[in-house]
Amino acid sequence: MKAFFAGVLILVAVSIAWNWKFFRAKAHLTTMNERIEEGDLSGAIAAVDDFHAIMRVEPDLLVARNFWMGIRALANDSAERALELLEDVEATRPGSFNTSDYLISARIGAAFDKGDYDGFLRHSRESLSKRRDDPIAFGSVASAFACLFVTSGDEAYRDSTLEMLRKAKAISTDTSFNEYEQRILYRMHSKEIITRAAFYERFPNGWTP
Amino acid sequence: MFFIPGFVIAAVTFPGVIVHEAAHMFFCRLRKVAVFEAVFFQFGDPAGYVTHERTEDFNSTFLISMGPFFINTLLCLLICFPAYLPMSFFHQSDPLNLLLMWLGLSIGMHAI
Repeated sequence: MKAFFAGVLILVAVSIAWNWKFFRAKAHLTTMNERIEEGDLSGAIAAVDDFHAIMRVEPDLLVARNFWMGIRALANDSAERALELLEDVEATRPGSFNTSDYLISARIGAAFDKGDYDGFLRHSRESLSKRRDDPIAFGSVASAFACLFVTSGDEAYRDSTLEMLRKAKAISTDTSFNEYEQRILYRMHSKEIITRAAFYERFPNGWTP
Repeated sequence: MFFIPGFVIAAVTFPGVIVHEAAHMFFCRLRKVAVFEAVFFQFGDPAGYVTHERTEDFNSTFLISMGPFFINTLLCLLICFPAYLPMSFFHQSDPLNLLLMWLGLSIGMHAI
């Protein structure tokens, strides 16, 4: 009797042990969904990687992982990396993810990083054409004009910058746009194009003309 | 609709019959009720049985008679659930899990 039940318990143990990796994989997927709900992209990516270490990942999940990595890269000012990832997502699963707005943001960032200010202006205008009620979209166009003013010295770009800033402020409902405006105004004042991170390092309490 | 003879079902799910009778016997031992004879599996009707002394104690009677319900159900869940997870969620099956599913379901079928 004891031996019989020992055998049955061994059977139970074998069933659990043999399939333990699936329990872990399911736990990682649950974690991934929780992290996404929380907006924790790094946590979600880590959960997919943990899942990948155990099992073959479904292609759709890999695409989702690249999408999240792209969004994270965009948030971390790594626009070129973001562009690479998001373009890959769009090429693999066209229309599956709402990548269009993120792609434009990545193109804007990548153009700025490369010093391609004509491209910066072109992509910013494309963004503005879709988001006429967004002060940041107007700010992006103003930012591109400010870059062109610095590099060319053409006063027309200065006027365009100020015009775009005026439009942005007209629709801005809170003070969040002010810091963006400061950076753009500082760019024209100093005739120096610096990154957002460099600006905050130089002026942790903001800059006023 | 077609009829499947009970002995065929018992033969196909014989692990469940064995566990069912073992559960009766386990609770006889637990409640110190003497067992006269135990047949864990046979090709016939019944497929298995345990004969034991009469007892007037309600708890003993309840446990001995309901023993397979508890033991078989619990074992069915413990064996089937881990084997079912990869099949249902990850659409993966392997021979061992199919064997485990057969064992688990056989045991579960003889819970009553």
